[in-house]
This record gives sequence, structure tokens and C-alpha cells, in this order.
Amino acid sequence: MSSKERVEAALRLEEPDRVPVMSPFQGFWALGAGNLPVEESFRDPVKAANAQLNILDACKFDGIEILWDWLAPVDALGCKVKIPEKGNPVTVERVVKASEDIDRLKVPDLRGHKRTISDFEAARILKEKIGGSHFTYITLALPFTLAGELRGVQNFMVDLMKRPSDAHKLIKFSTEVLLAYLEFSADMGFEAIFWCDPTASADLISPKQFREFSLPYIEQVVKKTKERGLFAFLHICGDTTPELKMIYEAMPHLMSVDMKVDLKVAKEIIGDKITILGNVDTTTLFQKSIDETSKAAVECVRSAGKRGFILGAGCDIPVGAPLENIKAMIEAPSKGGIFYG
Amino acid sequence: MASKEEILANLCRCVIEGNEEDCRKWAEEAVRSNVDAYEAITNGCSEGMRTVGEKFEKHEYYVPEVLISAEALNAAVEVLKPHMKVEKAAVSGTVVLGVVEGDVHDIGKNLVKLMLETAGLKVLDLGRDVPIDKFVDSVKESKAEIVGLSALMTTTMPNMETVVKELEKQKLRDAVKIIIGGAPTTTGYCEKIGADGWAKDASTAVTLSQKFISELK
Repeated sequence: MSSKERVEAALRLEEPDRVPVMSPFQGFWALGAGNLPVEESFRDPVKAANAQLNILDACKFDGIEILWDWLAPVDALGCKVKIPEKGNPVTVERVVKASEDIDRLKVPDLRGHKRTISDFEAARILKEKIGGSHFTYITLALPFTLAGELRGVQNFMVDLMKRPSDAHKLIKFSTEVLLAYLEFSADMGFEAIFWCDPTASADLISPKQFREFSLPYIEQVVKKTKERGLFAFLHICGDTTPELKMIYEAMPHLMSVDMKVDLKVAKEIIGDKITILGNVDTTTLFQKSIDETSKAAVECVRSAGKRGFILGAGCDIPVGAPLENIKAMIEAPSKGGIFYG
Repeated sequence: MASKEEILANLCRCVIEGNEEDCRKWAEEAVRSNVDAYEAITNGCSEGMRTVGEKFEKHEYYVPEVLISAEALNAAVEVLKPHMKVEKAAVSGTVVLGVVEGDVHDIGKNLVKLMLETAGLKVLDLGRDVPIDKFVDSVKESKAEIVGLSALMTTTMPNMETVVKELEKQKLRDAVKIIIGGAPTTTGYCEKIGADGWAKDASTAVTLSQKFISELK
């Protein structure tokens, strides 16, 4: 089985020859490992793509993230952002300072946004080079998270309680922007979108707030992604156990869960219809030994089972995590005989 | 005129419900009824905020609920503060608090600040993306007992260690206790960088601060 076939089998809820491994988010980590400044990766698609290819030489992921600039829409919408040498960009100035600012927002022309164009070009190069043998996907924020960036997360959280109609209006606008990204992605021929909602984390909002402010928009985005013929994957941070049942309503192809979720429980709740990805503790990847990482990865496979399951980190691979630990995670399923004995 | 008990109970309730408007009204009522402003804050508003903290720990409340409770509390304090007799507002200790350089995620830090102040501690909030020197200078000037460092990213976490080292270099390390917190941090990391305590959440930050301050005294 090729890496790509392995992932596709897992997405059909089958049991491949061995459990496939997807990062799920290795982009920024790979740039850090290759010492390519993030800012440069947003304007030099060849260098950006090469940084990822170099990592793939050492780390045999079955599926990889070919677009990691998931907050590019924030920049396209005119927020002031700070791009660090390593790691995720951060929004420093918000475009929505008051209610009336929401009405002034316009969906940007993505084909005129340099950073987006460069990101998509890097993704195109990567897909061309490895898309035949590997499963490739791009990462984007979901509407709730994008809205939080545009408004400032703390203000946005207050809006949920005090100005819910403003919050909905902003999330609805964010949905339109992200659907424009989906159209662009579909035109580029990408295979899958990993939609992420870190701000809808179960550590921040309640299941009730998730149902009201995040889920309806996830449903729309997933539905459109499928209509355009792409795979729709979801990642939500925090202990999402209480939210998992609701994920049925959105019905993505894959649900990636944070390390706080028990994989066995996740499989029991939605594993019959949705492929589960997870959830090696990112702190383990970052700080612990190779042995401990191996054990953690094996433990994930043991609790999730081999059918309809993809092994990966519980969230972003931390920038600075040692290469040897990532290799240990990737090799864990191949060492089946030794560990599962 | 409303009774003192009624006023305190309503201030507490309005903070728990996050009802900013009513909270302000009851604070004004406290002033009108000559209820001691300090008592109204500590036995009314802060009592409510303590319950909010408990509800947050028990997952009955999430960040949005805590934030609107904080807004209600601030509205009442704004009304009451001018009426406070200064000598009564003694603080039990001072905490220098900030998100380390390169990191702008400050919701966690803001929750910690709120809880510390509610518990009667003085907080010098240095904000987010705080340069190393600013922590050191602030400790020097304020004679704070505690330094609270927050980081939300693995890439900025190492700046916590730099702060610890710099405090050592400036011979200030023994004068303060250092508490760290934030999503990527762990108790193991805390030990590794030589900090004194790891706060897994905002209420742990308060318990640790109080414990360290009583030890230092």
C-alpha cells in the first residue's frame, strides 16, 4: 500500500496494512527545523515547499499538510499581524473594534492577496511533487476562530453573551470569506481541507455556546467542501468529549481530537461513521524522550484500534520538537510486532 | 433604603449573573445607604467572583461567563472605589504579572489577574509581549513577592527561563517566588527552568501566591 492508499483506506473506515500517520499540522514545525523564517515562507513558495520536502525525507508521514498558513485570511482582511521568526503569526490589531465595523467588512479578492497566492503556490508545488504517493491537505481556520481574530478573542467572548446577533453577523461574514478560500482551493485541485477551530475550544466555550455559535457554520463549511469534491477534516482544541456527538450533525470525513480526549471514547461516540485522528500529547513530542514518545504513540493506537484511525499529534507539532521524537511517533505503528505482541 | 445584607447579597448575585447594569445600581445603592465601600467590594462583589471561579473550575461557567462577571464586578468597583477608606484596602502581597516576550495571548493572564485581585492581592499587570528587562525592573521597583509568567506558545515558553535566569543574575531571585502558567507549560517544565510553582489554572495561581506569600513572611 502507498502512503496515500493507506490514508484513503482509513478514511473509508477500513483497516489498512498498518495505521497511517498524519502530522496533522507539521508546517510551522518543519520551517523551524529547516531554519526558514516564517515571513520568508509566506513569500517564497519554492523555499517553503522545500522546507517541507526536507522534513518528509526524514519523517515518513503518510499524509502531510501542504498549506499551513491557516490564518492568511486574517491578513487578507486587513488586520495588523506580527509574523515571528518561528511559529504561528499573531494578530495584533483587529479590524472589528465596534459593532458598525462589521457592516463595513468585504470579502477580499484572494487572487490579489500576495501571501495567499504564495501559500497556494507552495501547496501546488508540494502536491505536484508528492501528491501521487502521499495524501495532501491544506489547513484553514473555521468561521468562529476567524471571527475571534477579527474582533479580538476576549471581546468576541463577551459579544457571545452580550451582543449575540453581532457575533453571529461576524461569524457569518467569516464563513463567506472561508468559502471563498474553499472555492480557490477547489480550483487549485487540492484534495482535502483541514478546518480548525481552536477558539471554539472546549476549554473556552461551553457545549451550548459551541452548538449555537460554532456548529452551524462548521456544518455549512463541511457541506460546501464536500459539494466541491474535497475531503473535509475537522480539528477542535480542548476536551471535546461533550461536543463529539454534535460532530455527527456536521459529518466531516475525519475528526482530529486534542490530547485531552480519550481516543477509545471518541471511537465509541463517532468512530462508526467518522475517521478519528489523534492524539499524541504535544508536550511529550516536545520534551520527553524517544522511548516515552514511542510508548505514547503505541498507546494511542492501542486505545483507538486500527480501523478508521490515523495516528498523529494532538495538535500542532510544537516548533522545536526534536526530529527523533517525531520519527518515533511515525515509526510506532510499523513496530507493531514488537509493541503489540 | 435597602439593608446592608440585601445590598451585599445583590452585589454578589449580580456579579455571578454577570449583570453589569444591576451591579452598578446596587453599588450606587450601597453608597446611598452608607454601606462601607470596602465591605461592599469584599463581602459583596468579591464573594460573587469567588463563586464564579468555582463554577469555572466545575465547568459550569466558561470564559464568556467569567468575562461578563468581571465586567459587572468592575462596574461596581468603579462606583465604590472613590468611597473607599484607603487604610482599609491593605493588600496582603504584590504580584508582578505578564505574558512573556513574543506572546500576545493574554486571556489566561487576565483571568489570573482578576482572581488575584479578587483575593486581595495587588497586581502589577505588565500586559502581553513583555520584554525580559521589564519584569526585572518591575520586581526591583515594586518589591513584589511573586512574579507570574504566562506563555501560550511553545516558541515563547523559553522566554520564561530567560526571565528566571535574569532575575538570578540581578540577585533578585531569592527575593521572589516565580509562578508559571499557560497551555504548553507543565510541572516538569517548571522544575526544569527553576521556577517555584506551576499554576494549571487561575485558581491554582491564587492558592500558590497566597501560600508563597505566607512563607516569605
